[in-house]
Amino acid sequence: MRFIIPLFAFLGLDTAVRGAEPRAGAPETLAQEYQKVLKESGQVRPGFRDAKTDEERKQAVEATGEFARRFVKLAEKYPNDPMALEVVTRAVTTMNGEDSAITMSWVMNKSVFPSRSEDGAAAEATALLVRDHLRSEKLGVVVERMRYGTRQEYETFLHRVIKDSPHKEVRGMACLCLAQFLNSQSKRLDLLDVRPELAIRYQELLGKDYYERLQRKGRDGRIKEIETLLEQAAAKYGDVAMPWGGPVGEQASRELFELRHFGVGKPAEDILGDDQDGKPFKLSDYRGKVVLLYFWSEY
Amino acid sequence: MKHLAQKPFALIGVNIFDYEPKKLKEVMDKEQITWRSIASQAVTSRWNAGTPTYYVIDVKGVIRYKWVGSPGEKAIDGALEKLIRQAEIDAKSLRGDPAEK
Repeated sequence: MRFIIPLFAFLGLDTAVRGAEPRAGAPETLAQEYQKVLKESGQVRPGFRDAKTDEERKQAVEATGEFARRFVKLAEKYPNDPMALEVVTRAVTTMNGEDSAITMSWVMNKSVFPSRSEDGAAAEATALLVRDHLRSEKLGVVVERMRYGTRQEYETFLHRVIKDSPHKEVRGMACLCLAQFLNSQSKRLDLLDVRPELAIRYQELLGKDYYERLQRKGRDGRIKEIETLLEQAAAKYGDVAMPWGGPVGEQASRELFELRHFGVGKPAEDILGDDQDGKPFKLSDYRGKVVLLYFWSEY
Repeated sequence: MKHLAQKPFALIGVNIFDYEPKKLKEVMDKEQITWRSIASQAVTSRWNAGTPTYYVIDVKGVIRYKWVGSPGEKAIDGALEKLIRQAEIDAKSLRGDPAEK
């Protein structure tokens, strides 16, 4: 081990570890402060996953929201630090974590339900990104994280990136990710058709204004907007490589195909095959019946 | 979903692998899956489905709901009941329409 440590130091891989321990007397740096907050955020007990009661889950969600805010504040404090973008990205993923814990608690909780913190962290994070990082070629990382989020500020921000980023790679990712972001909000609202009791929850999650704006667009309006973005992603940014592999164009075309041929409101394509008894199966034989088609596996 | 047994409804499974019928039957027995199923990777990828994915198709063959990941039993039951009720009302009004006779 003795030989390995200096090697890591040489490669600069130990900054995270070193950063965690502020040297006495030296002014704190963003790296040091960031490590400190990261460490604290990992030490919150119980976390959402080990929380046992509704109240504990609510507190875990609130703690997560609090850390998101702290990450934003940190990035604000060190606007010129090269690490600032990474810290805002962490704020975004932390907000995503907060939001997904909220939706999980709808299933798990019976009495109290956590709601999203109204602290403007998403607004501050995106304002910071516009002010300090809009021209960054590394913006794609945070753009990509936003597709998992629920905040209306992400929609506004992603539009801005498509318009103003000087990098084609970043614009392409923003275009695809905005379509995916809007698609997941649209799917949430679709669920209200069969679970109207979730309306109040979605109002809380998305914020009342944003919820109402999405509702006003209507399902057709939302899908049209998503299709337009996907068309644009396929046409203009087809060859842009995605960080997780494959070009944007391919992914956009796949999602367009799905919306157009396997989307809600489209006629189901026929399925032919052999069933478990070797008898020929044809989906269209079931015309006249309501069919629940369930894709399953034993794993 | 048992209460739907007498209704114009069918639950169809698509296993996401390319099993021969014999192997599919074995897997189904082991998993205690009782509804009619086929197994096809090609269908799974064409329908862009992971597991679990649910499509609800109405009596006219139109996709009316699609969920990737379970939306909860309540949502599935609600969707099925809604479409079945609609189909029953439509069938009745068709029978009652003299133009159809």
